[in-house]
Amino acid sequence: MQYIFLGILVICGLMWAAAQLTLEDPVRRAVERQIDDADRAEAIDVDALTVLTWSTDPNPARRVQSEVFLEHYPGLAVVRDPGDMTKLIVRAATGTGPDIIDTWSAAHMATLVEAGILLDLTPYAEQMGIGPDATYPAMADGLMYEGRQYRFPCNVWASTVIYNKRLFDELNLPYPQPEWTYEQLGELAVQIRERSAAQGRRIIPVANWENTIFFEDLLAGHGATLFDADGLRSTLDHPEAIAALQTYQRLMFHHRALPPPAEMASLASQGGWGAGGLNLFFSERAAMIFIGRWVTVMLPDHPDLDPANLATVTVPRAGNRPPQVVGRARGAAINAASPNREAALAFLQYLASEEYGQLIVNDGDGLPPNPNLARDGDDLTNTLVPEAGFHDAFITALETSRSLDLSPFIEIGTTERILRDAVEYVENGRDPETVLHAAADEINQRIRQNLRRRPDLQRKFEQVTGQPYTERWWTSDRPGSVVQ
Amino acid sequence: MGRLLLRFTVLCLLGLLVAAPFVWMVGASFKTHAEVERGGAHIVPERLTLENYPKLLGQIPVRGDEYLDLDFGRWYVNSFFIALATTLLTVLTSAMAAYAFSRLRWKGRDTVFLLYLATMMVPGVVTMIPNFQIMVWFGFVNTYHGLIIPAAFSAFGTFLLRQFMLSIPPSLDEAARIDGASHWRIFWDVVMPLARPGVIALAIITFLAAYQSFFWPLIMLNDSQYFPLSVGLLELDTGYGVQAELVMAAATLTVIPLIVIFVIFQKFLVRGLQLGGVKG
Repeated sequence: MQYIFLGILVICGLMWAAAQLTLEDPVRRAVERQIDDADRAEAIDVDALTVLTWSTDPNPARRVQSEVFLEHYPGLAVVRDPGDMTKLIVRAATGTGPDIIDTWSAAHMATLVEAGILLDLTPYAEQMGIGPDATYPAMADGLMYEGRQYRFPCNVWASTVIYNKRLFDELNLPYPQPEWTYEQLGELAVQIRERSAAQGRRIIPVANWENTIFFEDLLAGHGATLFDADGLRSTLDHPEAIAALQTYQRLMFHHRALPPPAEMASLASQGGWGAGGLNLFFSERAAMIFIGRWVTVMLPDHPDLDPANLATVTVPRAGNRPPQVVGRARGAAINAASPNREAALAFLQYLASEEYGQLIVNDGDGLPPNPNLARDGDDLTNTLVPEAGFHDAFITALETSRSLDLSPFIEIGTTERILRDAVEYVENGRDPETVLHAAADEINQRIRQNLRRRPDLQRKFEQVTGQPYTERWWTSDRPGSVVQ
Repeated sequence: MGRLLLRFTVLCLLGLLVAAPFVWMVGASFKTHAEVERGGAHIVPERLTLENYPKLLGQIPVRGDEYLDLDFGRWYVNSFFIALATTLLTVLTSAMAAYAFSRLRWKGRDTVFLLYLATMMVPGVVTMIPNFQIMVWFGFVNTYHGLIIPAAFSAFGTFLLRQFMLSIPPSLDEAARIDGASHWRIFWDVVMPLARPGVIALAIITFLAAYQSFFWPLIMLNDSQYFPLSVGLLELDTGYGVQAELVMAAATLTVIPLIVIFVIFQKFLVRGLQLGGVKG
């Protein structure tokens, strides 16, 4: 038996030696993979580089973005740090986290701020040109947490309606026009259903790719908010929010604009992976989709879909209200424990630069964070969609968008979960008004529970209201409280 | 006869249910991207293609004419190396600990054993941050030994082999000791050969667990040159969407060694676990 152990030991030793001998310097390797020109890569002195680690997705666009950073910020390089949220938390807790951290939403950023991971950018922002005024006004709230800035956008987007002109032509229907309403969308959806059925096929009016985002956009469009001004009470039970969810329900079950769950299930049994909302649209089985400009990065994967057949229009209005959706951003933040703080700040400056913005324009990955680089559709034309008119609606949507309001008194993840549940309940036939009253109650209960348990939130309560915290604060007659 | 037929039918159905995802995975790995995108529950590809497998070993297309370098071959070797080294060390340390807990008499032995066993009750997630902090202090982050050494000590392995060793008659040790054998000699030449079914069972269990290990390597590694397959597969999600046919091809290549090992050694695995449960 000793010989078996010895044999395996020798094999392990040989494998280890082979692995060690073939290891390349990771920085040299990263630089060579970033730069297409081998001679230029060879000429770079990697030992003199300050190397930043960037926790982001394995999107190949990061390679070009890293290459351009290296080109314009001599002495600095950035390499991707693969991983997920668990890795980030473990690494950050031990002081070995990445220098730059991608945050996918304001909620994600808030979670990391609450965990003490992110650097407060406020003292540096204005001087370095990465403050809220360096991007779209609608993005400003999404960069802040309790009045302090913690991230700068990598790319920004707001939902717009992309429609397939070929399908509308085949069904002999007019294209959606600006200033249209959700009621008109519903009527159009009925016509799409009827006419496509008459032709012996099924065209889905609106491909649903992320129903909670659609509902959040409806909330914005109906002028609804999630919380009252001081964040102590949910406003999901207010008439505007209820109207938003009723619109969602009508679009799904009355007009069948969005495929209801049963129809999605039947599409899934026919189509496996192909049943996702994006694939419905890309395979020209759906006439419209509510989505951001980033979706155009996927066009090269669908060569059968001619981009010339695609056009855009702003989302419908809710009654007489102007069209409005939620502005969203993937943003980069800095690890508060990063030993390369100056270099990491330079990277955020790079995100606001023209060089980086042009990459976003060319890739079609949303809009550049710097609004000066996307003044009109002409600025955004690229090889994916050369038609300037296609891009205009994305700019309008972002300029008129607003951020999703958050409350410091409840965990972001809980709010998101409750919103997601509310949408699912309505999809399963529940009444929107009942669902949202229950959702608001659940949020309010959670806020009270959090306040009861956490002295830091009690102090925040006193700051926000100017009143001392009491156990039954919510039964007092202060404005916004619930007298029960 | 009727009951036998019913039992056979139920077992066949359950077997099909378990095997269906694997069969589908293999089928999808031979489909074209267009066919996978189009969807459909059919297992046999309409047009069989072998091109997914070579792509994994070179560059994968991500969008239009853009490609992403993979180190699939290296990840394969890494997985084997890490699993093999972990298995070797785990079996060795577990066997030595089991010998100490079963054949040697020392004060507090059973208490220490119980304490050692109690570590199995602590979920791995709870100890993840302290364990990682220790790896940082030792400078083990982004190294092979950072993956191998923390996995080389197993309370379960010690327990399994201790049960085996307890079933070996003590008279064999005594006879060897009368002949002048040292503990080391008794361990290697008397106890270990008799505990072979348990050793093989532990080796298989450890190898399979180390080969599939995901979270620890994910946290420990930044440099893709050290990735095992389990972590490397994440790179196939390129941000421009998952190419399911490539993921399925990679998953097929990943599970082949596991299936081969299980088929060859399942006899030892079952026997080893059965015997380990019987105290002599």
